[in-house]
Amino acid sequence: MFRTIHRYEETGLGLPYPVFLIDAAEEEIDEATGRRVGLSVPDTEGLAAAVAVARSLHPRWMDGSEVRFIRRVIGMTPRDFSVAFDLDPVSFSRWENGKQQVGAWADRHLRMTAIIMLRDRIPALSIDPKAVLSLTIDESSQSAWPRISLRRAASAATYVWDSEFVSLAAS
Amino acid sequence: MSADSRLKAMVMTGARIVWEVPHARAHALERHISVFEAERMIRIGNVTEERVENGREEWQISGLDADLRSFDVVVSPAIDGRALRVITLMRPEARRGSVPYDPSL
Repeated sequence: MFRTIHRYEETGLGLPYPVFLIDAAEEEIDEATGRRVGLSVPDTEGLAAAVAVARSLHPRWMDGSEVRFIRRVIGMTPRDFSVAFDLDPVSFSRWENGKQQVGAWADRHLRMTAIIMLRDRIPALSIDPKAVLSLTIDESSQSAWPRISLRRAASAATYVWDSEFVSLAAS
Repeated sequence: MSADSRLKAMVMTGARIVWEVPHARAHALERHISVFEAERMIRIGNVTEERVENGREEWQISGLDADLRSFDVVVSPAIDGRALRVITLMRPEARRGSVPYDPSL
């Protein structure tokens, strides 16, 4: 028996923080014992794309693990990614490994790249990459991790922002 | 029909991917394999080994992640063909006894 989990903390995306899924994940319950024995999250690649784009619209500066996450969602090796998007491969490696903070120009470049490369995977959302230009990047390493919450679109097999995320990203 | 053809057919018809919890999810975390990369592998990888464990059919799907590191996903197909259960994930180099992966290196 499967049942929808109203609010599920997804920790398996390779990010250093959970992403909250509203009415999206389903748990499989063993009817004999009542225990959860299985977990199903629909369209995890679409979910990862939606998270990467959501992250790109959040003003907190990009951490190395988030840069790696975005690259993996796009599905390119570090070398291919840095060459394709005109980034220095050595610097890119240092960003991903947290040995060097991503600079302001590269941070915006990565966000726009993520949106341009991934927006087709989340057709329920209309996103203009130029939105990144109006972001004021919070470069403080002390700022809190983004709190990203997504829900399944009612009419489409895709994810949309939950109102909780929209208000936080805009604040 | 080969296991690989059956896998492709199940993926094409939208079979649900169900992770056995908690162990399959725990293995993914321990081995630095994200859920979306594992499920991407299920969709695009190939069955490299098939076996029956405790009466349950299991397929090992192998391929590379975005860092060009190999990994395997072991799934079990539901009898009705409508679900694939993720049983475990493995890093072949770990089986051979090499140094564990450290993403910070």
